[in-house]
Amino acid sequence: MVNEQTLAQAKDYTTIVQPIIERARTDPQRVSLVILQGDGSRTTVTAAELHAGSVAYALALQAYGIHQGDHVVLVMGHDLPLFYSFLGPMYIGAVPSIFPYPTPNLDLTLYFERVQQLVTHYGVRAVITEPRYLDQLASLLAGTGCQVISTDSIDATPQPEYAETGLLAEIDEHDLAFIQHTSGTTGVPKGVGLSHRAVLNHVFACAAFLHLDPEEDVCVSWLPLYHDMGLTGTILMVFATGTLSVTMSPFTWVRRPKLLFEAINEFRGSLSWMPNFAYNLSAKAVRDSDLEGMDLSCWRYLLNGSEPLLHTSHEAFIKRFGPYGFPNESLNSGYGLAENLVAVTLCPLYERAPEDTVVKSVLQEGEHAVPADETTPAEDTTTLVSSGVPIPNCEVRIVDEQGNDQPDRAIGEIIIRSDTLFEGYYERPDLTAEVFDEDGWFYTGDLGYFVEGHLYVIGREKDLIIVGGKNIYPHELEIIADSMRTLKPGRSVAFGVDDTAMGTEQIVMVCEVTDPEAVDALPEIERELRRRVTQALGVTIGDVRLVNDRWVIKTPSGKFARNDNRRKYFAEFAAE
Amino acid sequence: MDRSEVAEKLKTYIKTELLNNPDYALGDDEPLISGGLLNSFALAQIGVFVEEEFDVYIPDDELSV
Repeated sequence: MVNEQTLAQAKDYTTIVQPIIERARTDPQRVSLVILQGDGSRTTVTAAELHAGSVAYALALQAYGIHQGDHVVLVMGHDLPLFYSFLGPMYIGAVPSIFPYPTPNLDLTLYFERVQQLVTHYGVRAVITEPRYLDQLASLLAGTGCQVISTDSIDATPQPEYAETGLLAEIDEHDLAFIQHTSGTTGVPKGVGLSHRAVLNHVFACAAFLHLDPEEDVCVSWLPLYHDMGLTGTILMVFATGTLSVTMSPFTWVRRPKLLFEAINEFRGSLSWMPNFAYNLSAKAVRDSDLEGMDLSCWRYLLNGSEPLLHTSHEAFIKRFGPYGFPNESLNSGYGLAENLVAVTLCPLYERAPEDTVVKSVLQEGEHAVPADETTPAEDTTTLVSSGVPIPNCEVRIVDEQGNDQPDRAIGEIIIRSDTLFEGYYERPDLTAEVFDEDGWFYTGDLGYFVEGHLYVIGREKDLIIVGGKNIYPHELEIIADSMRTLKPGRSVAFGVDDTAMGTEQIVMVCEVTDPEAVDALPEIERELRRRVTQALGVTIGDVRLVNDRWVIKTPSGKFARNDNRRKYFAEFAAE
Repeated sequence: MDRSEVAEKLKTYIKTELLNNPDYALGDDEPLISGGLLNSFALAQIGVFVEEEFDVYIPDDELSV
């Protein structure tokens, strides 16, 4: 049962920043946000400060000539200025979007080129960035009409008059609130534009489903804010409802996964969200001594989302953290996409995400999920984890290629219709038209099936590889291989394979070498490819296979048959 | 345990557990993360392995990419 009172609150507001303004007036000293810093210190922000800092940024943007409807891109790390830079533009009706922050190994020249592409393609009016990137970005963007603003040029100190400041523009609820740029690291990313109405509907629907209680609950997250789950769980849903948000940078967390557990224990954190790989990493990389004396029994909801859910990861997690009070029924899950802000389905409260063990060979045929029984050989079974049930006001159907509804256990495309869907891909009506039908159903491109109301997702968008929560398209990898003289152009293939030990997918690349005789050169070719991929995409290849002529399988039309290549890879190499 | 023994144990762990490729010719000074061999998730795991295997303690701020 959803909390109807919470659900109805969406109608009390017309913009997502109004609840923040309201709370600054009614409960100014309430702590809204705690940022746990990498050096062990923390930044604590009250409702009044959050509002005042956002107003300061809004006024600064106005002074720079930024107007309602202008697109503002944020290029900065996970710290307080990012919160202000995200909220501030919305006070004046400008439209922010958060650009993924570079990972330490990413080639900064390539990274800034991507920012430049986005700016010129979409006519971005301002980029707000950290002082250290100011000069580089300013020279790169000179002449584009886009201003580059450094966070240190904006004084976010609360001024008394800010307390009385409300919205600085007339904003309609159907105006765009912000843009989420979907992953895809090369080329110009698709921008998912969401209206204030959609965002309000969504966050209160999720809060109602989760029975979020601002007096009792504390949300703890290490997810980046450019990620839909991070943005919703760290800013949107928590600030709209007045729930305390405790956060840390993903770079801080990945070095010390124990920080999440320390934060849950100290703040009595009750809700959190992370992708599947983080379950395995936590189970492996948190020491016994870190956990001594911890009580995790306050943790009532842990949402596993944004990459394939593995039951083995849930097992590893409960085995590791159950003894410290983590409740079994808090192993929850969800399915979502940026086009619906984030969530489509969520696992019901106080119910460990159900599992469904089916016949693997039948599932792989792609039509039915048939339950395994005692006659099924163990190696022909596979266990899926439910992604939960639709959130309030969101309809979910499974359809075949003709658009006909599928019965339970029949596999089809997941399509959704809700009052929280995006307005369209930013300035791409052509792409938008492709994914909606005339009745307003959004075609996700993902495959799944239902069992008794629970959605099981079996495959995301075609060929997409999700590594540690990050979406990578095979062609992005293949382009890099094609740029190497030592590899044959058009003869490298990339695909994902499951890695249950790590709880995520691994990238495999099979590449034909230009000179099969030069066996001694192979290790250096592999190193070069790995280095280039890491610098360009910020991800690591799991396995590289350098092969001779005619290994890679292509279709008659010259496209990669990725499944055939994957099968061939397993047949030749996996047994090693 | 001398230096080369420590290096050997560490390399074996990295090759078998993290690279899943025992035959990889891992150099002594090969950059693991910037070289695109391991992702940053592996760092915390190496930290735990080193502590358990060699009975040492690595302060948090010593682990960095």
